[in-house]
Amino acid sequence: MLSAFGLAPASQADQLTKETRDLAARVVQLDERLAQARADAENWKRRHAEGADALGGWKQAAAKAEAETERVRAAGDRLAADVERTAADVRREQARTEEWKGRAEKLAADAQDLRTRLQHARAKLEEAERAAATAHEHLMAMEVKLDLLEAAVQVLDVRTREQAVAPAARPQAAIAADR
Amino acid sequence: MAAPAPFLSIVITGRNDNWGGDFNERFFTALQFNQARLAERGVAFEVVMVEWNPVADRPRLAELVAREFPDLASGALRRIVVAPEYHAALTQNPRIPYLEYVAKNVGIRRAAAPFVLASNTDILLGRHVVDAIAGQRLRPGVLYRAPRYDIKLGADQSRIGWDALEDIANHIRRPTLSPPLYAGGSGDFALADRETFHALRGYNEVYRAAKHGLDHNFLVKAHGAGFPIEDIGGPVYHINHVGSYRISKSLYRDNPKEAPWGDNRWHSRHVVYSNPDGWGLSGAPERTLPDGTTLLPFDWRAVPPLVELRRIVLPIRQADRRADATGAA
Repeated sequence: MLSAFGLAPASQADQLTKETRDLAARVVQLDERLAQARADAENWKRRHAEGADALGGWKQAAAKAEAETERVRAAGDRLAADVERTAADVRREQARTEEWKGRAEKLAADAQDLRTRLQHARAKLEEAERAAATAHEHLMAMEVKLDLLEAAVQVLDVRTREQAVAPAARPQAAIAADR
Repeated sequence: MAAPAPFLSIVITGRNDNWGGDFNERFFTALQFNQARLAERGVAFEVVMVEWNPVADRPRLAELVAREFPDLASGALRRIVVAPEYHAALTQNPRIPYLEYVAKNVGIRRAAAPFVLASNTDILLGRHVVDAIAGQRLRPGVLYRAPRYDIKLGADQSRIGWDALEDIANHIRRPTLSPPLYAGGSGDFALADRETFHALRGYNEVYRAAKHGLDHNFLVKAHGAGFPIEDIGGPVYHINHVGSYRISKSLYRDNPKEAPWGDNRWHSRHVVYSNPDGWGLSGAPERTLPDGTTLLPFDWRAVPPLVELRRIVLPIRQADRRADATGAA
């Protein structure tokens, strides 16, 4: 009946007052949440901007890395070609080395043979030199002996001549003395 | 008081033929100088002077030197005159009137001192030589040599001393000696102990057709026999004179057989000798004359055969002996 006079019972008014207060509190809470949401949105926006910047950087780096990778791959290809070429060279040089090794071994054997023959020749030469020196010494000794023989013959010749003359003179002197 | 036994015998030889024009002056100058230097240092010495093949009608060197040095003649100067018949019997070359090295052997064989210096009449001993002798630094078994510095011809001999001798302005030549033989003018200075000279039997008296090279020949024999040869440390000095080999050798370049020292081309550097037991006329009789001179009268028994070919020998090579000894030490 109160409602017919536009009135409401007190309980209902209390209820409504309470609901009003709750709604007001709820509005405050929603404002807070809205502010929080706005802050979060700003934060996310900032982060998004940062992420976009980072993504750009990464994209750039990725592009650079891709280019570098391409360059390295090209270099690798070239190196691989070089390695292949070098390997071919090595195989060829190995073959030649083997060939030269064979030749060197043959030459070493020849050299050893020559060395041995040279040693024999040198020994024979030294022996011949010793023999020649000894022969030369004996020859000199013989020459000295011949000098002595010649000297002795000359001395004896002089003595013989002196004696040959002296006896001839002596008898004449004796004859003269007898007279 | 009796004179002390000599430490050194100096063997010199000569002939009274005035060799070089002023032989007596050079001889007396050198003898005076050497005896004074040795006496100053207290060296007991004797001089054994051998007069070889003296000329008959001239005063003998033995008389002249006794007159000039009466003090020496009474003790430290022994004079030996070898009868000229020995030269006539020994000669193998009538152009050589003076068998210098047989004469040296006569003196060496009769030397009384433990060390013997075979030298010449015109050699003056240097300061280092006298130092070595006076210091008794001589070792047995070593043959000592000294280079010979020639003093210029016509040098004033009246007041000669070491300062003048050592002045290079007075030198004609200053040779250095080289091992192993230290050869060069070795007839002027060969010093060794008496036993070494006896072991080698003196100088070559088998080959008497030349006298040139016999001093070198002695070094070859000594080296071959294993005796070390050393430089004594200083020179001796030679009063240069006309007729010396060094001055006169060019005169006989084209006819070396005519030279008064014999043919210098003989193999004195390669062929040596083995003297007989009677080397140095050791078998010759001796007679002392009234003036104290010892005369060796002639006796055929002291004379070796005119030729003994078996005594011409080759030296033994000893080049490595000293090196081996050093290595072993």
